Amino acid sequence: MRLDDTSDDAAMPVGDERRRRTDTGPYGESLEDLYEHAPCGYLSMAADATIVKLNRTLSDWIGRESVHIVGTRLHSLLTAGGRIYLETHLMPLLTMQGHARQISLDLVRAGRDPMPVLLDAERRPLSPDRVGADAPEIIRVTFVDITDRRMYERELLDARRQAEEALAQVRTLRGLLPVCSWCRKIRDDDGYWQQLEQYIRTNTDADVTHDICTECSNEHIREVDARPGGG
Amino acid sequence: MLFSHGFGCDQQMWRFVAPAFEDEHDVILHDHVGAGWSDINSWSPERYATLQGYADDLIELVDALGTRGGVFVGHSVAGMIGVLASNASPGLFSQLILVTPSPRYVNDPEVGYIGGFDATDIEEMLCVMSDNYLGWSHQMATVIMANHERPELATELDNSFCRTDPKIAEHFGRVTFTSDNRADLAQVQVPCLILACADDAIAPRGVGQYLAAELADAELVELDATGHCPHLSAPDEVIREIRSYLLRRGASR
Repeated sequence: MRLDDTSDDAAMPVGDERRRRTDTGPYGESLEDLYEHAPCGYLSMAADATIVKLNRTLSDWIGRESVHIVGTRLHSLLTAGGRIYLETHLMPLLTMQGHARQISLDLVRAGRDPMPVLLDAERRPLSPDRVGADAPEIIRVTFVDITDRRMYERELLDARRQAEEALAQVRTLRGLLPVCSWCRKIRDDDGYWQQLEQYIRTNTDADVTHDICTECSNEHIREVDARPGGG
Repeated sequence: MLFSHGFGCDQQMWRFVAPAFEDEHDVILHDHVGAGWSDINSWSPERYATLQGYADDLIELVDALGTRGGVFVGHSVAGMIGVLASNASPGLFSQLILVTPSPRYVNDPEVGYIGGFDATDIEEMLCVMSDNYLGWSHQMATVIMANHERPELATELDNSFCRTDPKIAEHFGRVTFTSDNRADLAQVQVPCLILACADDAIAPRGVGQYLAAELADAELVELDATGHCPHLSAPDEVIREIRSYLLRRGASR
């Protein structure tokens, strides 16, 4: 049992005294209340994901009476996207490694937006006396509300995506650019020669305005001035 | 006898079923490129832009092993990958065993086809996937790559069966769930066994019946097992049905 595996064994009382305390704690909390009003959603289901029991916290989150949830499958608590993930990832993990950790899903709620939750699940023998391949098993599942964290994660993912896109754009501007040494056109990746202005507009966020530099201004305006009838 | 895994995990999905056929067949297991212990450097979004890329791999694999004419067993999307490979290379397989297959996951109301999902459901699933790959950190990828030569070490890592580079997994997910292979069914020349499940959230009951009607030579077996992965949840039933089909069809050695 997990309870006996705690590393601070030395600090724990022994024998009956210890058992009594681990069952209800020093303040005499009832086991039922520990279960029903735990600060996480908690359910038990059969190997085919049919829900057999759930706590009050979870039924309150879902907004439906426990009696209407028991007997349905875990699928009925999830969004369509979550149901696909459940079938393709979660159930295989539970069968093959006996547990699944930190699965991010959305809990469907009556009359409200879905609630982002983190799901953890553990497969356990139904009775500690019966072990082996054919022993009946139960899957315990907890749900932790991660509404705020999910929003933050999505923002981080968006920021990363934007950073990657920006980086990819910067990379296209590195390396060698083939420029015509006569007319200064640039050859793009498809082999077409483009005006410098066109190339910059297509490949960067910069645009081009037209002006005349001092040297050209001196040279060409003198040319214009020197034309017959000019000036 | 070649076992091909579907979208989500890797060839270990077959570990309760494949060993049962080892006495009578040469059993081959493989990972699709991008999944499991495949060389992810071989993956490219262009080659795997459609299921045909995965089907071409099957043809290459079978030809390289010199095992044409064997039995193909494909789960979920791998069923359609096997169909495509078989159509492109007649004689590649003698039989196709399709475990919870679907030729199209998205409903097509115009012709009254029920695949089980709307296009928005698929986008939602891709979103769930991207939420769940926060766990794929660069650190984790390094550990997995470092153990590439010794997979038994890396399987100690949580969720390793289903751990794939998130970009590849999302791409495979999109290719899988937006695929439409209904038109390929009529060209199938080999006998097929379809194993369908009750309460399968991915391939609803009607999909198995649709396949059986569209394929020229198909047997549909509706299993008692629930869910999308009967080879995990009810391996004995899957073994029994495949074995009895192969006996009837004379493909046992």
